[in-house]
Amino acid sequence: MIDNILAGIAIVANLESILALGFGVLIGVIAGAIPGMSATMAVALTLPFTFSLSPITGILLLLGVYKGGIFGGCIPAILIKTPGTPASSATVLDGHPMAEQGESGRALGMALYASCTADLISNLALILFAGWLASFALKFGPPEFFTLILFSLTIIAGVSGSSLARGIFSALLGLLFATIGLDLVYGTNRFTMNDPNLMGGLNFIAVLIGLFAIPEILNMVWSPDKNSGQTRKVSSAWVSFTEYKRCFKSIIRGSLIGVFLGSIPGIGAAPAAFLSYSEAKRNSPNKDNFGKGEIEGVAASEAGNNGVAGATMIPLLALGVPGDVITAIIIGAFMIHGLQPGPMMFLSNVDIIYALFVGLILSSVFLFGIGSFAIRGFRFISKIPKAVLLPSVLILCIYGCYAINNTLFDVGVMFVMGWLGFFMYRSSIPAPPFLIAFILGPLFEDNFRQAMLMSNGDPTILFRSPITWFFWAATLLTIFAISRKVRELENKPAQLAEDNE
Amino acid sequence: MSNRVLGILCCVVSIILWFYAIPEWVSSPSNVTKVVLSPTFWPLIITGLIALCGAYLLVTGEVEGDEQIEVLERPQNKGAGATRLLLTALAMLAFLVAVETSGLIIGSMALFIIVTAVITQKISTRMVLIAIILPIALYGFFAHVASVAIPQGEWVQLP
Repeated sequence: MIDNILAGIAIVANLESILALGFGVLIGVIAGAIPGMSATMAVALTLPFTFSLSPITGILLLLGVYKGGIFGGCIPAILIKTPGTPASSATVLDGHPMAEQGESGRALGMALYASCTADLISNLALILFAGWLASFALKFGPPEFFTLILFSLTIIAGVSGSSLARGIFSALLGLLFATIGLDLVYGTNRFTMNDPNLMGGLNFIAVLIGLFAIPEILNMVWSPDKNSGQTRKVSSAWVSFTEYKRCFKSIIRGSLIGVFLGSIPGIGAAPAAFLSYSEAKRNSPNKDNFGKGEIEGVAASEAGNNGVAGATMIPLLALGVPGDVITAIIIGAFMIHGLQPGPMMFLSNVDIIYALFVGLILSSVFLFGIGSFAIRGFRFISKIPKAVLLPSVLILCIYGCYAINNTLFDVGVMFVMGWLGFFMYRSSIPAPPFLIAFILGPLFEDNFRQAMLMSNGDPTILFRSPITWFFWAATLLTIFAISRKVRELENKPAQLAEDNE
Repeated sequence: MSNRVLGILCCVVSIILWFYAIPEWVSSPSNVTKVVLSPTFWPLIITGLIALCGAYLLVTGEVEGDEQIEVLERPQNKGAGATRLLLTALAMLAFLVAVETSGLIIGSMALFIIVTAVITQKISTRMVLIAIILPIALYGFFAHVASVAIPQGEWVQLP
């Protein structure tokens, strides 16, 4: 193993590779920080530039963009309530309230520390558990995925705010909107109204930007006297070591959630961030402060989404199965350079595998340096008055949304979702459950129907293995805990009234 | 919005979905043997759950009183707020209708100026400058760095 590590270091230890990695992280952070320019888009755009590079340099460049992109998304999420990437949606929940309170420096600092810690843990997990963890994830069939996603949906309770029923209604709307498009089994139309633009379903980024960014602008239009011309204070205060230590447990938990979910193909960083956030909220002594500007919330969500980045490489390198969309693009880069990721690569190109491991560890260091620099550059966005910033965000959103598929239809979807988000906000219906259900909905339904196809409609397949039993038990336990909590909250006012009498 | 009103809204949505939207807009092939495999199964389950949610909200609204969940900020003049929202909605609609002719750059410039004017009730030189520079800078990035074909419309053709 030592020989392999040394061989890996020998391949990476040259100016070209190091520059490629650093430049990749920088491109990723900038792309992630622009709403609508997702990490996926940045990796896809960088891919053609790797053709002329050596295999390891090209792949390191793409990995740098991937890592930087996932982190960069937190910057606009905290500063302007617009997640740069879907993965940073959970960061908005506490990061933006902190920025509103003039604590953007602390929020961004914690996001950076949590991201780098999670990234390092994720990379170490990749090195240590590549083979073992990937073989476990391979045992997941549709019934196991169905139960896993069912369990993941219980996090809606954690992001529903003061009313669980309203959160559930919001999630049901999200599930309903996720059904729009062609049916994946029979190819028939569902709510498409025969419009070809709707046949592929609603674009996720358009829905995301619409739900989170446009309502901010409409709120400003509705009530400009409250915010117009105000400049939000940018605190020079940076996150302290004591705060980092206080959040360390949540960071480690979030990193491990990210590693676990990242190693399962198809889950992605956004559910990991929400699950990590929800678990942190459940276990924190400051749980009442979550959603109002709790630094632990920022740490947990960033640890969750960055924990995924290294782990998605586990099935890619060990089995040749991409863990998410970005690693699917990276697999393309391997193939362009004549490499086939999978078990055989551990025998035939073990030096390249270890070079990638070394490069990934190095990327955590670059992320820390470049991330600190980027935060200092971008946080001055907060100093711009809202009356100038929000119309600028609107234009940025329009360009970003158009650029995803080169279609103005997505811009229209973004506007419609923005108005829906605004009315939901005015009616005290939380938007995060909508988004979580919209992300998980297609996976949930597809895995359910695939399981039913496998068993010819026999529902006992959903209880076929210890993995499904585990997730059923976890779901039931969570529902039990939620209902107890709801009962407690309902009894509180009655108890107070009795005490007053 | 109170629990009672939201409950009624949920029930109305579920009735529309169950009796009109799903039969009209969700097609299911005639050879589906198992109901769980039908394309209509999932939308019907969601509709049922929305109805249940609505019933729950209605009952809690009746039993526990119809209190507002939280008080949100309102403008000093509600009518003016509604007018501003209407103007913004019309500006967005006009943008979508006219963008093929005006192009994304000119359309964005106009939308920026309208939204800013609606918010601040005035148009300053600084706003006009940002309205011109920002769409051109974004065009430069997306068209020349990201290689995205930005629609330029019929009036202006940038390199």
